[in-house]
Amino acid sequence: MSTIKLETSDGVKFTVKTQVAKCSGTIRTMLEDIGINPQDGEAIPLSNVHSTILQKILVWAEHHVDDPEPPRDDADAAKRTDDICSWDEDFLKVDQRTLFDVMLAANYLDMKQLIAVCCKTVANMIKGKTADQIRKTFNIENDFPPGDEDKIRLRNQFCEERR
Amino acid sequence: MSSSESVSQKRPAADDVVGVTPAKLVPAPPQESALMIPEIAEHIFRFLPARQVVELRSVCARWKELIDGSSRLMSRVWIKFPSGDKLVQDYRLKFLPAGANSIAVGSNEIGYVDSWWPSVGQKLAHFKVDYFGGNEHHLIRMLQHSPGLKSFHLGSIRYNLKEECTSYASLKELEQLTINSSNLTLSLICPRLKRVRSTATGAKFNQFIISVRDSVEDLTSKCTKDMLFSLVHMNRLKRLDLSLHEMSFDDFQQTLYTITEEMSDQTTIEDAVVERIIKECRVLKLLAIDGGVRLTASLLEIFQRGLASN
Repeated sequence: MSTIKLETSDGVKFTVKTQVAKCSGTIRTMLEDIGINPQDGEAIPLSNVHSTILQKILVWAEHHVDDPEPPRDDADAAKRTDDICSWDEDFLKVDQRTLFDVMLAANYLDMKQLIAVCCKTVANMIKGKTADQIRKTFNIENDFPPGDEDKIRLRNQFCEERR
Repeated sequence: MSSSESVSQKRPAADDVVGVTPAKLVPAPPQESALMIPEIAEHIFRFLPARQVVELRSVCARWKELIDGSSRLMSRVWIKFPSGDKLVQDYRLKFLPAGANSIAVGSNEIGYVDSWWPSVGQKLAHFKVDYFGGNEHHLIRMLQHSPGLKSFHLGSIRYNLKEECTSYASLKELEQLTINSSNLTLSLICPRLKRVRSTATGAKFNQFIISVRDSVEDLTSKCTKDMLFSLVHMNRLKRLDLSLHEMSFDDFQQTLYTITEEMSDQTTIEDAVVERIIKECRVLKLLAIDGGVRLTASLLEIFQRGLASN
């Protein structure tokens, strides 16, 4: 079984099946295009990923390693968010902070399917909520100068969903 | 927040991850929330209905900037210019989000176009005008400066020129065209046009239909004798929906017979007639193909009767 070593931002080294590691587009590119040779025994540095998060991501990658390539996503239409598989749903039942850190790391590691399922999860948390409720849910500061929010709301009436 | 204990409980099986030193696992240092990374936020918003994406602009300044600037998100939204406004540079256009590429105009006066429209038109993909308060020249000028249009919807136009409008617009990306005006006098060159919905009739419109015969797959149109003859040249038609215009049902039937006769080249063998019709008359060919083809029921019936009587 071919394995490679990954080193996280906090200096923890992981030995991972090459096939699992290749769920990451970033690592795939390093191995295939840049030609880093895993036999050298040197760890690939993942300077933007912390060990706690990489560990979680590897669990996901191991579970999904045999997934077929997803169909290419089509342009503009609003996409479904009700098709998250139950394993992923359980996997993402974590605190917000962990969820967002997984998203950042998945983004850095270029793991499209994991990013998509995280985005769907967050979209479901946003769906149907007012601006106020969203700020409260995600602890976002309302940084508009006084009065600006009302002006923006007023302009929303000039927007209409296409088709 | 996960503690190091809870993390190590969820550690993957030893087979998958070997050589981790659990003692070293400490919580990750705080970093900026993924919700504020434009790339990730845009991805999330693409899973939401357009209506809510618009409303998310009032959550915080960064989201507003991101959404307004994203042509991907804004392409799902019409920016409306309601009826009665003057469509001129200094009015409401300054509120046009940077990423907006779909504009719906009600009934509008039109100002001097050349000075301000090009900057708007260049990024426009979808343009809908219910009532255009200028003439064909003005409209053609606007379309000339909107080379990326994918869909264009025109209700009616205020001034039809007495003399023919000689200028034309080349819309290379246009895929959908809707004309709800009885009289199309615009010259458009659109080699990728796939869908036409039109209530227009007349020589100019027939000429136009002939010009797009190699790309149009879906046509909803009024049916005149001329139109029926034009249809014979449509090479890619998959869906056709006709409504009779100043034409009796008998006229319609007679015209179809005339067309089939012309196509049949006076041969008397029934199979050969059918074969020739199928080969040469592309519209009739549709009748011979099962599945994926929807013709209005009455037309289908007429064609079948026409073939049977041959």
